[in-house]
Amino acid sequence: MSHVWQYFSDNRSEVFGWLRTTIWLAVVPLVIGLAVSLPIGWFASRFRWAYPPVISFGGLLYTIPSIVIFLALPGILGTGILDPVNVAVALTVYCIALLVRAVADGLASVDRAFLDAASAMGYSTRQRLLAIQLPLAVPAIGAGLRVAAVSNVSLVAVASTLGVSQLGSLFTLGNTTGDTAPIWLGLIMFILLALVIDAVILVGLRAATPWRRALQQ
Amino acid sequence: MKRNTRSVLVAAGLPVALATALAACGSSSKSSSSTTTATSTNGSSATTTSGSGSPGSLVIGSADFTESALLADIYGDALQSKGVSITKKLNIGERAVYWKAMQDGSINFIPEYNGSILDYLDPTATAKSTAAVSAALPSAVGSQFTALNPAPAQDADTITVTKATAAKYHLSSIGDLAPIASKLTFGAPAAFQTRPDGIPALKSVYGVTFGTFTALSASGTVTVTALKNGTIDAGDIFSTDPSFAEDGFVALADQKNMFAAQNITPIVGTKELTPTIESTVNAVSAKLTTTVLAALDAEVGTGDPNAVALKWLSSEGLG
Amino acid sequence: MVAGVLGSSGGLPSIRLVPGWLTTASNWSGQHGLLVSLREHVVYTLVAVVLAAFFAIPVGLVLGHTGRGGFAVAGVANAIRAVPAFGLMILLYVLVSPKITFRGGIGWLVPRGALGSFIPIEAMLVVLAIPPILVNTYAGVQAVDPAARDAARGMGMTGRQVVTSVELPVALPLVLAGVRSAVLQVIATATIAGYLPFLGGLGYQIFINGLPQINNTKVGYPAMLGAAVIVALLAVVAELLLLGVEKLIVSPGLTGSFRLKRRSRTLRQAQAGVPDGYSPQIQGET
Repeated sequence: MSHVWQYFSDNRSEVFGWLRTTIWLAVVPLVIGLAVSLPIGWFASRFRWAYPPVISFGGLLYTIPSIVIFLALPGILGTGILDPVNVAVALTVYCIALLVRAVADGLASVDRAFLDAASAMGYSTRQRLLAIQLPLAVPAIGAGLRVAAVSNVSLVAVASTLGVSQLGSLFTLGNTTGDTAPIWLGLIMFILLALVIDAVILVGLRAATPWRRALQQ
Repeated sequence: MKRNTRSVLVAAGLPVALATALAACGSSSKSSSSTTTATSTNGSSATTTSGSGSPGSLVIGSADFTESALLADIYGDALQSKGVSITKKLNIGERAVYWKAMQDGSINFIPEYNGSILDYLDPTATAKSTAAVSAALPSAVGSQFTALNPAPAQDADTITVTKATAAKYHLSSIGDLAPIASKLTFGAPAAFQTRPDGIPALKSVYGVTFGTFTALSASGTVTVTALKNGTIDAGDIFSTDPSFAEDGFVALADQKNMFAAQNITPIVGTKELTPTIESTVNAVSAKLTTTVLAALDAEVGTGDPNAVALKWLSSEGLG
Repeated sequence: MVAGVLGSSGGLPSIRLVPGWLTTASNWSGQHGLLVSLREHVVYTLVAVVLAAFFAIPVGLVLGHTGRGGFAVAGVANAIRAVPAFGLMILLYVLVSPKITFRGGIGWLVPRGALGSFIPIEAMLVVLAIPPILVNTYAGVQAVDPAARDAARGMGMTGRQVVTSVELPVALPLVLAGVRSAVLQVIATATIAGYLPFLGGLGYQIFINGLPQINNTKVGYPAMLGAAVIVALLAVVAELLLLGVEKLIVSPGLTGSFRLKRRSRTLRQAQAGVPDGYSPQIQGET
């Protein structure tokens, strides 16, 4: 373990640079993915015929190994292969694949009684969606968001195969030099990063659902 | 109800604000691929307009292993000291990835290995010696690229065994394997099975046919571990790999030159090539021998290749 | 010759080669053909998911029954999900393979000499498969209607009988959803198995045969994309199979006719009993 710490202090500035890039790549696709998943997931929950195809397609996207998407995207998007946009788009696609299911399930799981009561009180459909259904679905969507966030963090590691220098570069370096210290360091940092992002999302979820604290009392 | 909406929007706004801030950080310390951006330090005319007078500018790439990054640093730092404007994009990945970057112009300089790149671009090529490979290279890379002079240094494929195996079967050259190879397992890249200087050449040149073959990348942690613990008896380890010194591996001598030459050969975009670049790079290549390269690789270890590169260049008067 | 097949995607061979590659019989047969790779891939996936379920379902049942450790379960599961599989695989290989000296094979399960690679890869895949199964089992048990539990106790059932006769059957849809999620995850990740000696799988065609020889039109690019297509198809087939299994073994009283209604009932229970931050519906499916 001291070997790992030694490696860390020797390469501190480089590792921190990688960490910054990793955070950027882990968070931005997640947020964009969520924004895109909300309308799509709503659509899948609202129209039951749409649910199976949308969810299955998402599941399918998720199984395609990421390196294949990384290599196919430049042809589709017309970007250069080293363009960070490739990685960001691929990660966003994976986040959407994961989040659409959570959004659809979350929205659909809100008890019909609440929705009917809201309509009876005079809410329009859109007000009802934004003010009642969405907030009540937040715990379910939030749990999916946590899973997507953490999965995204580990997917960022694969981007090192595309020359995007981030924490995953620790693995490629360790693999080619036969030194396990960077691999250990990489594993530790990825886990820590995921835990931190997870905690941030948890805090955000708590802020968004004040009524649950009242329930638990 | 309004309160609930507000708290949802606040909670949604938090990550968005965070992401925007990070996005700003990300784009200002961009790009995620480049590690250093440097301009000329001599104050000489490092303009970007092309013209036979200006030294030129380059985007230098490397594969994702230490030696490639080291070579990129060596050439890049030497060019920089001669007034060429350099951007480095190191540790890109496999050849499939960085060669695509060359083709679409994201990078325009790569320190290559002439035998490997020839085989990659033209799988039917049969050239073996340095001269033959270098002669075949221009038509393989096409008009978009120019291959500069090959350095004496080679980082070639080898057939490597552990010290214990070499002692047990009295092995010192590849031909010594012929009587016992059917009992042994060989680990090498999958391409070996069809490459003209791979398994077919082992049979025709040395009469060696291994009992079992498994696909493993050349060098690398997995291959070295597999060789050490006896999962494979012989592996393909690159000739300048530090594991020779660290683990006491023995590279079997290739007296009949079965393996194609693998001289360090920088490849540059033809459009970006200037006389300054050509002369600087060729001068560096002339001083790069296999012994020098192996020593530099060992010196880098897991540290910073750039420091080692700068030290060597200044000791050679190249930069 | 090379220039002729370099297609429009910026220098990589044409994507039109892929259907041709997939329909060439010789690519399916042979020691490294698609059939063998597919079979190996299925073996790696099955072993990992079965082992993971063996561990995660009982643990999830016990934790869910006693109601303890929910927060820890979610936290640990999420932390494990963050681990990049490739790094973990290399590390496990370096640590574990020197200890394995058995050089033979184990039937159709483990090819000759592969045990030193098989154990690290399965260890990595099992670690990856445990979180979805564990989280879902826990949540599923937690979501069981307290009234049903009380009724079972009232009838004189012991703790263990409550678990096996009431909680497990009721939690089964969620447990199976977790297993489905684990299967998808493992199918996608098992593609990196080919990096270890003597292992294959569909990833062999993608990363070992395909990527390094990408300009070779016989293997290379068409192999890479073709095998990726097979991976995706395998995932679809696996999902459909498991959905079929679910229909067979889940009690009809649970499925009900209007699926959305069932989901909302369990969500209410879940919100009452499950710790903050996660809900069973996430891994859950229709």
